[in-house]
Amino acid sequence: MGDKLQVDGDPEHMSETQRRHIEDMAKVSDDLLARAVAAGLKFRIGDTSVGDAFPEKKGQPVKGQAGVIWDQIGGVYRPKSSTVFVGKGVASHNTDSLFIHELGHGLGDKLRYNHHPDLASIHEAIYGRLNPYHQQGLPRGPGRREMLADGLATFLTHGDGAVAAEYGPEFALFLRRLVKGQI
Amino acid sequence: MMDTTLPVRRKNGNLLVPFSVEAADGDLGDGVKELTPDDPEYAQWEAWLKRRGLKARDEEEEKNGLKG
Repeated sequence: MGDKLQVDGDPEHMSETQRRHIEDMAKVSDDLLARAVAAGLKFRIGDTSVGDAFPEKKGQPVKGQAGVIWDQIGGVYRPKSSTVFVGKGVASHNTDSLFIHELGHGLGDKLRYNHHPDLASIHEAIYGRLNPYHQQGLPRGPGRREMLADGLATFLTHGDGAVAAEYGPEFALFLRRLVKGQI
Repeated sequence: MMDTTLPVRRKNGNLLVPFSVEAADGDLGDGVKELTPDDPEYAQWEAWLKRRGLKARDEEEEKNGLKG
């Protein structure tokens, strides 16, 4: 990935957190990573929170979450700089892979998967069985992009059977097509 | 039934659940917040777990297999 991948600190002495993110990156096919890079995405693997990694975020409150600051957040996708950052927050995010989750946000934005009509119809069809995180904002809201990010993480760590069991076969098929570059 | 995006139940009964934020500059952040039983969102998660026949992850179990 060349200069599109930055590892904070000494790459020869990565932390456990950084090694875990790198291991998760290895679960993503070269083809999908190449498409992500071609779409303009850059990746930064950190060992700190978002607040500690980006000075402008240090100590800043998180909108809509009382008492939470960016120093507690472990992962972010920054569309203006097309940067995916993963580090560590105060607790592990409940996704199967924080790296793949943030990659999902980047792909969803740059390749417009967030607004794909098939994803929209799948999200609407299974809305009633989704957890509150994936339901947030009603069917057209942010829950859809979070379902895409979590679904991609599950797909690439546990396989399409796990996605089918959790979300249904249509979403598993959508992700298979996404990963293969067929949509 | 398998479900990989489960909340974590702390020893005191609180739930750790994911949340996302969209900043004014467009940044999308992902974190975890702790819900107490008197939080309306707590009841939503409990209802979802019950509806799906699922249990939250145990806090100790989560510590032994940190993911993100």
